[in-house]
Amino acid sequence: MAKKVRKRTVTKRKKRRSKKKRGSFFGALFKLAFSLGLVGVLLLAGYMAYLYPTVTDQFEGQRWRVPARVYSRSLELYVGAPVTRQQLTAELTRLGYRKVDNPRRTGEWAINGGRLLVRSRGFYFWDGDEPEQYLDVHFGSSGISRLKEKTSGKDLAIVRLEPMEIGSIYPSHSEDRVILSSGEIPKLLSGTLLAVEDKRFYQHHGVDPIGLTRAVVQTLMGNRQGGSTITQQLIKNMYLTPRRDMKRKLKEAVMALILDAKFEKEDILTAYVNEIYLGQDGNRGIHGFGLASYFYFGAPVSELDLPRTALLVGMLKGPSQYNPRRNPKAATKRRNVVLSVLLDAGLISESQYRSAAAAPLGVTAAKGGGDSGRYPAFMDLVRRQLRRDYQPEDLNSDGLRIFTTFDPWVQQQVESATDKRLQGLEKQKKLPKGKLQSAAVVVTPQDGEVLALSGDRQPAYAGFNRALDATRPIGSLVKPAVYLTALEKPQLFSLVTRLSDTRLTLEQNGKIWEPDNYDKEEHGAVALETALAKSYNLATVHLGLELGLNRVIDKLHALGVSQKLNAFPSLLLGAVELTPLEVAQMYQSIASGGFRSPLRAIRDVLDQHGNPVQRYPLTVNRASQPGPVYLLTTAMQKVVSEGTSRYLNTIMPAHLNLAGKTGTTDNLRDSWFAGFSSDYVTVVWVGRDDNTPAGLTGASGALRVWGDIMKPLNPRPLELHPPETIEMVTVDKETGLLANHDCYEVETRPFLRGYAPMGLAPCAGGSIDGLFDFLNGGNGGVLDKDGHPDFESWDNTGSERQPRKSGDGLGDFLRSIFD
Amino acid sequence: MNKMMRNSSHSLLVALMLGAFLSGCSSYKPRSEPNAPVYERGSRVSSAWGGLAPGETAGVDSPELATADQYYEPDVSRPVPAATSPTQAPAAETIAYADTTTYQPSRVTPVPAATSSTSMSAATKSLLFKADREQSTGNLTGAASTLERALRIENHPLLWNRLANIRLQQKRYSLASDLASKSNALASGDYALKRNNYEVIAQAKAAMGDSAGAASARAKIGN
Repeated sequence: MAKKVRKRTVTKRKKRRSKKKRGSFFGALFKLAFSLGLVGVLLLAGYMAYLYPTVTDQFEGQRWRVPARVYSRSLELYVGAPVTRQQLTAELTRLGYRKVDNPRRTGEWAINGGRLLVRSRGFYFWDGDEPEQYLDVHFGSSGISRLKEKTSGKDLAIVRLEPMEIGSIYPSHSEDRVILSSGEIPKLLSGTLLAVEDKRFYQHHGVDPIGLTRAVVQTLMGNRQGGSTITQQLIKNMYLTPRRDMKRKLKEAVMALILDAKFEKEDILTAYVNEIYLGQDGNRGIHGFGLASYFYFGAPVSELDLPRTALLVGMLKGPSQYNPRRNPKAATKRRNVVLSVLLDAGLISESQYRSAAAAPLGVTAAKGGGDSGRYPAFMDLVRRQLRRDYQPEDLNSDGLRIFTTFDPWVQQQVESATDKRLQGLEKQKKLPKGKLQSAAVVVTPQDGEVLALSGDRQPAYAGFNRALDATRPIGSLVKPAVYLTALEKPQLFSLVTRLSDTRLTLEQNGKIWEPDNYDKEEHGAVALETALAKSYNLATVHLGLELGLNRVIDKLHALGVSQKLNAFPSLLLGAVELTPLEVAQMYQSIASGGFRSPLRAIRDVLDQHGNPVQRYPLTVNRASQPGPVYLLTTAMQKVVSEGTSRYLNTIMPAHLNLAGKTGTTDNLRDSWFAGFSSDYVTVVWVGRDDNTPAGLTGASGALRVWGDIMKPLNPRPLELHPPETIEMVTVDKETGLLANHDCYEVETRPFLRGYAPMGLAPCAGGSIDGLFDFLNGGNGGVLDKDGHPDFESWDNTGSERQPRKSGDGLGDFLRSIFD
Repeated sequence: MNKMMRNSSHSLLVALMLGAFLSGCSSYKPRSEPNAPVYERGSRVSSAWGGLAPGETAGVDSPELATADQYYEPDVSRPVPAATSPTQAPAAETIAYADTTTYQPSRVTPVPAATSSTSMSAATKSLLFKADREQSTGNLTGAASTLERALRIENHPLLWNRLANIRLQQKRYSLASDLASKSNALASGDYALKRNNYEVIAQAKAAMGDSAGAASARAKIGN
């Protein structure tokens, strides 16, 4: 194009020379020009009339298709919050707060001794406004120890930071925007923009002959410059193809004239600020300054200072060429050119120029602004929930704001634990490199909120989401359901009831099934809780068969397993295929004391104006009774304190009283661990996609990953509240019968009130009666008409002991002989 | 490009003329008004993740299970809930309470926060008081949301109890009953709170037509 311009200019000069020589020719030429001009004007008017509806209709109807934005949970700060300084620092960094020596502006923070000073951003939550505040946060050993408003020194009860944007959903196109209204465009930005791109914006009429002339002159001087006005650039972006030829240029100019004539300057500028292309993120185009500010600086445009504003404006010239992440040198140079333009225009002082030109680029390492690629597994879950509740068009165009349960801090622990541990395991166990796969789910016990999710050992990999889609046999993870079914029959089973851990042969599906223990040993009569803690298969099969497979299946359904289950005995050892998310649901029901809360990833959905559209409320469904669940949980604590998961006690304090269960499937194909503290239920699966043996048990594989995730989360100890239906009774370890001071090996264990063993252990001078009771599996109790324990009567009677009902077991048979 | 230069001074004139000619049309609106979506929940209760999570059977009042609260007054196309089934509670608090065919729970007198909140942290207390304010102004959805926020901080029986009371007021009976049971499971020594929970359970069960369950819960209030 520069060449063309030069040619034409040469022609002009020739013309000028000929004018002097042949003045008489001027009149004729003028006439011709006038006629041509008149024809031109008429043609142009016709062309404008032709283009007019295209321009105006599109501009008026222009509605940027704002994607649905997805936010994390917001971090709550209050005295006693288990938030460490490190965690708050990480949160502020993720939110794009800037660390400074002395916070003066919103979005800045500083370390001052052991405390953090934070100029928080305000945020409009649908249930109230969170104002901007100057926070003074002190930390103790277990989290936040003091929270004050810095200026007034007033104590603050509770403050929430704004949530982090974790992704956007725009299924049908790949443009993304953060729309700014005219009033939201900072003066610094509009001033810089006009100074650099279109000095005469408020004077010209869409096309700027003066600016164009200057551009041509500059270009001729070898200093190539664009002459397009902001209006023309907007037209180019909104309506036209990137083709660069004269026809398109003319069309662009005509359309710019129409646009300028028809609409207010402010509207055109606002549209430009929201429309212009500023970069690329995979197949997502970064359009508009609003999003670009988040994308490059992790901060809203209102917080941008001079150098960062100059950088963004400078990038307009070539978003790829001046990409500050890829070409920091070119970007710095370009930014400083913009700064010098501002200086020359007298908009900034010499000293402002010097400090801004020396400032770092200020670009964040991580791409901000809802980079959907960052948490693909969780976003997948959100999408599925939305797909169920929304039409795709609603999601596409309404600019919904979706507030989720996602906790970036927990996710960070999941991500940093998984791949590292798997690499270690592959090395340690001499397994082929890179073959192990993993999935993890972290939910809250009391309300079933999904905090973190990974569906791949490389959590940023958006492929097969194993947490949601990999159904694998769960092995011994099924056992708590078997034992809970037993403990709900207190007249037959307590934690100390002896189970038979002996071999048996069964027929299943026409085939012989001979289950065995992992250690290939029989253990004889073992206490029920020991059988669970040590994950004895034979005792579990005996128990499950006695209970009836259908009862166990009912219990699995009550705990949240939705799929149809076949009543095969192998079910008792975990021949049930579930996804990690379904396992998390099952264990949430247990961790919450028997109240299942359907797992949720979304809390609220707002429209783009901040009006609430929907809530996903906290719901609870009684899956079992608090008493039996309490007993089960104490047994699951034994899994950690003395059973298959003792490893955890070597890396975390024993007083956490963690509860859990390992799971291993045939030939070490699947390695599972599901466990909980009082604040997290975490499920980890490790295995191979091709379903070949992974070479890991639950304890040697998934449990390790689980520990790596949980340890840095500093989980709160699992403090169980014994329901009133529970009483503590001291029993002889050897027999599980009542102990007294004559007994040496004793333990105090919880029992459902009225169902503790009544017979004395031999060490306590017990008679044969005690043994009868033991053989009957403990005590009688209140049964309903179907022979089930009457739970309501426990609730009802409080501390009253239940009348005994004579059993008809082996003890009574023996008693009748002795009588 | 110089073609444009030649044209531009003329076109300025034309533009001005055309501009005058064309003016008077509506001004530019960059964003259209939102069409407030009304999301209809049928009685079908799907599992939490489109088949992945536990499938909830649509029991008498299970619509609350995997469904969402509705903020907007439902439009006329919404099937009128609960007309024939007194136990099917509408999810939105905006739905009229004047429907006399449905069971009207008398409001359970709430346990004063002072008696049961002594062990609560200051943060939770401040949220509890916020929820109380919201409830007193009839903003039940806001109050429920605030209580849920408080529960994320502290698993306290009084919070569960308050949530149960709000759900009862919203006629979400099964949920109210389960929330009250949850409160009871944690409320070991707090008899005033437990009585209130049994009161909620009794009213909820009665509303669902479970007179035996209601009687059983009532019997416990006396204890």
